[in-house]
Amino acid sequence: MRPAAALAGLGVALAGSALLGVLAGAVAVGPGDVVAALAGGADAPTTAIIRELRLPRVIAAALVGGALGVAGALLQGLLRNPLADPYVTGTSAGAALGSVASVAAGAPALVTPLAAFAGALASVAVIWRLARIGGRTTVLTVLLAGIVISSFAGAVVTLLIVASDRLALRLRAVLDILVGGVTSRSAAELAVAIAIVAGATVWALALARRLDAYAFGEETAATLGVDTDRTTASVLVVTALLTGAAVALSGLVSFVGLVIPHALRPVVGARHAVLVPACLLGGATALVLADLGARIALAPAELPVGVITGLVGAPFFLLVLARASRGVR
Amino acid sequence: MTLVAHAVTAGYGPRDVLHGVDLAIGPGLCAVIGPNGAGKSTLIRALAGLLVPRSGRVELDGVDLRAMSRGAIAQRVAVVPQVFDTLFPFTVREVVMLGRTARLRALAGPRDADRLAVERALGLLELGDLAGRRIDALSGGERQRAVLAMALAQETDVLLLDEPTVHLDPAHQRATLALVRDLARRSGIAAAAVLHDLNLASAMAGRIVVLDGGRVAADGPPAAVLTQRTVERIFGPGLRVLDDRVPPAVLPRS
Amino acid sequence: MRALFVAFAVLLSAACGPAPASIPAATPSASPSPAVVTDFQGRTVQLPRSVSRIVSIGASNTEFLFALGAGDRVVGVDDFSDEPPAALQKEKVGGVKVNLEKVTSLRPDLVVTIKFSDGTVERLAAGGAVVLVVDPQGLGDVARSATLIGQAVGADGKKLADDITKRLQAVRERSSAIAAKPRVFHEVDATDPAKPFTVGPGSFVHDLIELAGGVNVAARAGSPYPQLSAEELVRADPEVIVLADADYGVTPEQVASRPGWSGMAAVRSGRIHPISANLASRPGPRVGEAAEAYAKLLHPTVFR
Repeated sequence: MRPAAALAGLGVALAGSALLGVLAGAVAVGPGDVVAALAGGADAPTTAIIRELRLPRVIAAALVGGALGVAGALLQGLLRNPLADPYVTGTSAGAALGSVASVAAGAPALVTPLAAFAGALASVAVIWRLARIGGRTTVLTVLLAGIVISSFAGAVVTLLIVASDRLALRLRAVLDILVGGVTSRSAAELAVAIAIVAGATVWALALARRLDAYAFGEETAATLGVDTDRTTASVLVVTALLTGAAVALSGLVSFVGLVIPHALRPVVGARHAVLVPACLLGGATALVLADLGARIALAPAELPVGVITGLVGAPFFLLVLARASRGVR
Repeated sequence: MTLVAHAVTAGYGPRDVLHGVDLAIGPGLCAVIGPNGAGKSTLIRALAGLLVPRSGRVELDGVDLRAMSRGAIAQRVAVVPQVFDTLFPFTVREVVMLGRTARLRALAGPRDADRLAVERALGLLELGDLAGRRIDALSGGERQRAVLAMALAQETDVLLLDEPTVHLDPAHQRATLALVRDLARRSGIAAAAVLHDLNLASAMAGRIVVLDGGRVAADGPPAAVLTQRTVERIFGPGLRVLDDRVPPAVLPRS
Repeated sequence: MRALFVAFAVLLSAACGPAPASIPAATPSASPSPAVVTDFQGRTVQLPRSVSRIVSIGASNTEFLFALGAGDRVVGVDDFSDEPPAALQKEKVGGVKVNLEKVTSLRPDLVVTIKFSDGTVERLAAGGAVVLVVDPQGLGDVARSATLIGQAVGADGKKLADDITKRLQAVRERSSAIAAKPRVFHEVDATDPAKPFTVGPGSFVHDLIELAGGVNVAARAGSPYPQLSAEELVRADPEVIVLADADYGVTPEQVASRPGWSGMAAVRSGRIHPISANLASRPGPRVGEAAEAYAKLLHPTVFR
């Protein structure tokens, strides 16, 4: 498929799923009223429900999914590892630790993305250091490192919960981070996230051609003219920015970063200049739909969206793992 | 145009692999041979600027590689890697376009010169029919040719090849090396190829460098290097050199 | 802490399934002493002849014990027991998880505890002490709790129960005369403002709201501590918002700035009131006081 057509198709899919996301909710609102509310012509409660509660939630889901999709594509390209994604490499766990720490410290809500970014950067840097030992890394090394980082972050989170009285009072907030769920966010929070995700995506596009050159390994990328130290550092920072933004908005949402790039590469090809925007749109679509599923599966009760992504993602992960351990090394 | 190693000592961690290697690579095809562990791949990495010498230096036209950016080196020196498996479904044409990485700018498409270089490289390696195919769906030999085409698309005047023929059948081995030799002859490219097949080296290269224990043990035209004495000294007593032939041939002793 | 506890309880009960249904109370034994009673878990309990060392688990139970004059016999309380102030001086026996070793080391002859679904009650009983489960949920449970605990410690629980009932009755009489009953949203926890926890039928705060002359916006919820979607809340348009989570730093300003909340009647008229969580979340001896405080919030002109 031509890249332009594929991207256009993904854009339509995102618009369609966003529309579904805005139409469905805890309170029944007819399609006509939804349109009226979006246009500003509905009564005050309906307008508040659509514009301030549902639309921000759909936007938050789209941002989280898009950010994780792009982060997954970047990590897979950098590590040449089909199983790399922010969740399994422990990058998300690092970001969650940052978020929890900032919640524990009682920092203002807008500081959380920064703390999440710092935690994500620290853990993704550890992964990278490990992945370099011995020049070439097996698929499993990265996974094991991810397990270790996730366990460590989990232990520190538990320690914080038990040790900090202040945090105990905010236990619900901590649970929300660990379980992973999308919720309505304020315009300011969304604005920060949009700025981070947009900036990081443009940066990723600027890195796309250099990342393509990693296809045969870091050293070949260097012989092709890529300043690998700087490029690698940039990719890690972009990944951490995206993961941090996603975790700050929604907590730990699993497997989106793994599944989306895999699902899209056969359609749009491997070039990151196309794969990155495709994963942004595809990841956004997937998480908007997953959140919709989370809202209606057991209505009126709501599932955390992480439950849906975990249910879909874990079997997919095993499938890729089986294929990878058969085919590669 | 010359790529020169001056007294290069290099290695990994505390271990030195190359010990004071002096070598100048000029126009033409030069084969690098030697037993396992002699330092052949390490020499290629040092010449490409991927491995910084512990002492000594590598100069391209008198400029130390350490003073050049990766982008600048990549426009002068191309390396055909040993590893050419990838997990991702790049097409052959996209892989060859990777050879233009150093000349392309971020967020901009390839220019005519880039497309031309890619099509030329595809043509040289007879990959025209495969250009739209996914590289992970090709045979080992086809992939190796695609990676060689990637290096050719870099349009450099130095070409370093690390065992470029291991995945090729005998016919393609000869054809590929002949292509490199002709390019080197015709365009004045300096090419150095690590080879295991002494006969292939003898038949294709105008010059053979023998590495042993991290030092240059012999250096010269095939007839001068592939003598019974030298081959026995480096590779042991198991080989017989037919040095009455031109170029010389090497057979296992029966 | 109660809000947290409720959140936890909701999670736990979802995970552990329903608690055993209570069995109708049997008639107390005819002999005055030792008395045999049926507790809140339907267990038949033979009360000790005299009680000198009591461990109290559950903040309302601790309040009842002190209100009945048994405070100086209490040797240990759980971490949530913060009223009266004297309770804070007692030995602590744990919070969400009861420290059984600690309880045993205090050598109680009576343990008064709320319900647990994780076997804590059975393990306490195995430790040798007489265990009485008292777990008031609705307003109707308060008098029974006072009576039962009074019986257990040899105090006049009946009189305490009557006092509480009279005080509640007084509030009910005044509020029932008021025709305009405001729609009330009682916030237990809104860590996620899109899904706040509130109170529903079966909780004593729900009873309190109705008694004080209000209409609970979550009156049709299916559980005592339901989570309400902000969308439903906007639709319900509460006229008064009562913040039982004010102790954790939630302010009326924060509520007004939540996405989607600004248009609610309560926000526009500024009728967002903090209430002390330990008063308004605990079906204990101070429910009369709580009802009066709640009525003042709902009808400031009638109840001064």
